[in-house]
Amino acid sequence: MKKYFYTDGISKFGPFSKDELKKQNISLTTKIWYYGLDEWTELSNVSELVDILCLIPPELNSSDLIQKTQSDSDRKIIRTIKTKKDIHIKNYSLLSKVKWLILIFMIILVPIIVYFNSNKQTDADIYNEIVANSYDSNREFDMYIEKYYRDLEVYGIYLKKPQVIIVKFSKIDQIEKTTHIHGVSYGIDDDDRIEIYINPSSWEMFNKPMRYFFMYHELSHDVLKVDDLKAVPINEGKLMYPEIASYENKTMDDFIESYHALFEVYLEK
Amino acid sequence: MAKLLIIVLVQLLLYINLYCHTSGVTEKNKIPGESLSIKNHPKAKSVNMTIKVPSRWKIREGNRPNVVKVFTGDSSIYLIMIKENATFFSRNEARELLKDDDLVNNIIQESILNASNFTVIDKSIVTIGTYPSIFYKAKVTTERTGLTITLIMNSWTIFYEDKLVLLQSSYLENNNASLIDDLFFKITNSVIFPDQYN
Repeated sequence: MKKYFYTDGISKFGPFSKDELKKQNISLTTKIWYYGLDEWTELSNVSELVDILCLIPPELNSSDLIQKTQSDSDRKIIRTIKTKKDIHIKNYSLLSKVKWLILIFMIILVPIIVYFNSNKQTDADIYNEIVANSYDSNREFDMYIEKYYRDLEVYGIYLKKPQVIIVKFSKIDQIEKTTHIHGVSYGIDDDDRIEIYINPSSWEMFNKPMRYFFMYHELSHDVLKVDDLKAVPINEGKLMYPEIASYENKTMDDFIESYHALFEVYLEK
Repeated sequence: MAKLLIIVLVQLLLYINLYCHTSGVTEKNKIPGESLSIKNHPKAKSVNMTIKVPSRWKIREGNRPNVVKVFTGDSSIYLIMIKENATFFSRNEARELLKDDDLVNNIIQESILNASNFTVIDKSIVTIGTYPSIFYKAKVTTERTGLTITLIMNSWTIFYEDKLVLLQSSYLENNNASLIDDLFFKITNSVIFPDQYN
């Protein structure tokens, strides 16, 4: 029966029968010798030991080899390294997600900014056109302002009347990019200014209660800094309802009670 | 006999007519005449109001501040005065306000400040031209050039938006008070505020 020897490079082991050799701690690169073989040859190059080759698992990769050969403390270090690597991978993954979020955010935000900027530009253009189309009239707009401040004081709302008060007609119908606008106020962001432009065609169309509704509505924007209400049925009849054109059947009583309600709400706030 | 009866009947009618003229109240006066508008009047403070005036009465402009028009006839005077109110009141709010008796008394007192002595005979909250109003009747004693005069005053104070429309009538105390009062009530009842219907 043929006997086999193997070496770890330092010592030689054997003789072993083929079956005994199978049980030894050998690898594909372990050098083998048997009688008749000229020199020590790697196991993988010995054709008659092919059946042993099949029993040997594939070579471990370097990190596993390191792991396998390290002491427990080394293993801990490796685990730590691996954990750090995991964290790094996780961090990388998180960073990637953040990058994606930023990208998505930018994709959404940029058009919005562009949209608002273009709108701002349009608003500025409209304002310039409204001012350019404005003119003084003999209408007693001052009367409405005087009464408005008088009524505020009756409610205990003492606000200083601004130095700059501009209430003029403007041919708003002639301005492009606008639907029919009855009037606009531009003093809402400025405590020292009342600036209202009135569409003369609307003013002519309005009856007495509508004119009061309109003037107190616009003055409330500029003086009390209140916004329009939503154009929903529940707000119909209120002073800050934006569709005053529908108020043609309202009476002075409706107007009076509507502004009283607004002043009371303002006081509560 | 028939002729005599006709003559007596005609004479009787003439006496009745003469009696009415001397007493200061004619059948014609009882029915207010043409409608007078104070729209765009410089003292009207943008109040648009119409009122009917007995046709035989004289209409003149008011001399005093806030007095828009003065009507005179049959030893009586009726004037329209318009004052600013403190603020706007809707009709419902004014009705609520006028439930306060102290407030009503104050308004009455302020409206007859010039009188040295007055007694409120009657007062109530009424509606004129759909607007809530204070009515009062007072006996007012005033002194004019050394003479003491007693006047009967009927006054209506109308709460119209942010204005007080005062309709004041007065006459010398006499035996025909009820007839004159009735005429004043009819004049006041003819008041219309057209803007409310626009």
